[in-house]
Amino acid sequence: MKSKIVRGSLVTLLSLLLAFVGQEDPFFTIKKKDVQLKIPAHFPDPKYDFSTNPLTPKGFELGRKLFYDPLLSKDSSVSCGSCHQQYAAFAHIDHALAHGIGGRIGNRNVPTLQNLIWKESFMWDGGINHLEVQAIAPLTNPLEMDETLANIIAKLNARSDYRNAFYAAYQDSTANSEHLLKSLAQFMGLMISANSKYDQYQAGLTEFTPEEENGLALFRKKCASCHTEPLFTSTRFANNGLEVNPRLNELGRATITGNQEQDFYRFKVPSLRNVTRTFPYMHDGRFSSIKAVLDHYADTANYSAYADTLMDQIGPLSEADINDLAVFLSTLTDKTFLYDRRFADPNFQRATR
Amino acid sequence: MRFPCRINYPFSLLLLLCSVFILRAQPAELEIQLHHLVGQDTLQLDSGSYQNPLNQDFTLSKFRYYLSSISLIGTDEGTFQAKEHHLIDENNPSSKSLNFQMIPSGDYHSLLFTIGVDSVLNCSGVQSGPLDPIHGMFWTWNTGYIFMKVEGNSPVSDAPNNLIEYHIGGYNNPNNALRTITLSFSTPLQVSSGKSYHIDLTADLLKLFQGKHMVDFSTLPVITDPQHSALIADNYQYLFTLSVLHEK
Repeated sequence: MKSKIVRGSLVTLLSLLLAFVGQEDPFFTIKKKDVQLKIPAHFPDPKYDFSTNPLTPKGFELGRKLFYDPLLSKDSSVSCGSCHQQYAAFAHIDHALAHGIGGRIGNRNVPTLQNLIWKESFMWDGGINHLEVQAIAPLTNPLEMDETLANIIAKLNARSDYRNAFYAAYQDSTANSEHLLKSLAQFMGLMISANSKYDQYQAGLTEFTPEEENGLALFRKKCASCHTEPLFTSTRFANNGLEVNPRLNELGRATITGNQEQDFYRFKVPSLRNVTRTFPYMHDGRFSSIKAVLDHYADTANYSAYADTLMDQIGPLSEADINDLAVFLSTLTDKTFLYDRRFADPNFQRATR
Repeated sequence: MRFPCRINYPFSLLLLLCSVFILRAQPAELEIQLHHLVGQDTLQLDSGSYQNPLNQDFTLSKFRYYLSSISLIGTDEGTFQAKEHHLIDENNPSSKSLNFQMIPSGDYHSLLFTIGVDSVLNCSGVQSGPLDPIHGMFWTWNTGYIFMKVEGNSPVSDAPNNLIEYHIGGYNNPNNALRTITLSFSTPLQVSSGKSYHIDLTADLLKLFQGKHMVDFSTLPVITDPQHSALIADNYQYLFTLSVLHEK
């Protein structure tokens, strides 16, 4: 009895001691197996090629450290993770428009970060053509983090923890844009969501309820031309019949192509994976619920004049249809991804554990 | 048993190596010196004042561009091509002097180069060296390199601060702003082994605003997208002259 108590207190003492000397929390430790790229069996070949940016635990850890560090913004107030929250599939939950430093408000809703290595282009207007250069836009946009690459590199090089982290990842203690952006690409590129109830159903591991079955059938008939399985996006651009938001100067895809006739108010088709977590919806976050989105699609008479012809496939939706579609969409929630420890903010290490 | 020749093996090898070194043709070297003029005047950022062909006053504060695929075209199909991209910056004098080694001997009739960045490198993710996005020659919101930046002021510009600002780029058709320029030597450049050659390449910035398109600072003070870049890029062919060429 006595020895048990002694042993118990010894263990407690030892673990306390370990915690104080900064022993790495296994919850946040990235091992080799954590950075192995596993392409889900029902997914196509990815677009991003990791062969020019080999995945390593230290590269991934550096990317994670950078992603969650407000140092990257002009006034050290906002990190990538401020607006890209894991529990929202890295969208900004309950925020219609992106928030930047100093209370600045952007023009668009924060997109999710998931299955990025299958994307041909990034942003609502598709203006960015490669995962590695994507992060430069929010880092430098005056309405977001408003910092320059040169300042970021200088700030990182002034910090010994970063010099160590860059050395650990690239055997070069001097931070540069290539290593900054490639480590962010490692961290974000591994954000793969492929284990929702829908995925398990596809693999024959679970059953759908009659409502879910019916919702999937309706979805395939009415929605899948744009929200194509298994990524639930065609990765193309579409005008989904929204009226122009008069308060935002927004052209959509035409901003990039300059083709007003063809591309006015067309936006990247967003993936619907984890859609229950990514509200509010649309490029400007105008709809706060899935029900509101489906009501818009059901209201075929009120599509704007610019609506794509593909929108004709939707046709009338009954209340029961809307219900079943919403039920089906909730099968796209992937808790494995939403609570994957690899993507959690390591700064919460001491605060919450 | 003795090996009287044993010591001589390395020695003879050394002799052989030396003779190979001496006999081997040494490749030639080439230096290209860039000069930036505005009409007759040497470009002076911030301090020089100039007039365009429409008699509009202007000053310049920035002039940067990418030169790539610099090649010598030989008379008998022999060519020399350097693969690197060079970021030429008026504010950085050393960037205006380009050095090339390993030029093969032969007769060359023209110099060829591209203004801009190869299309593949515009869509292959982050690059380093002169193509590091840290240099600011990169569009963050619509991926692609800015091939040329010309900035300054003109009283006729109605942009904020009377700015004139031309950021020229775009690698996709129909808005491809890459332009390849070929300039012929007046007499063929005869390159012999072991020698050094010097070319003066002069850009007259007034030519950026005339030639194929006349650029009016009052109606077109700013270009910052690929869609309008051709209005400047089409004038590149009038921009450069090969002024001097000699063996050093």
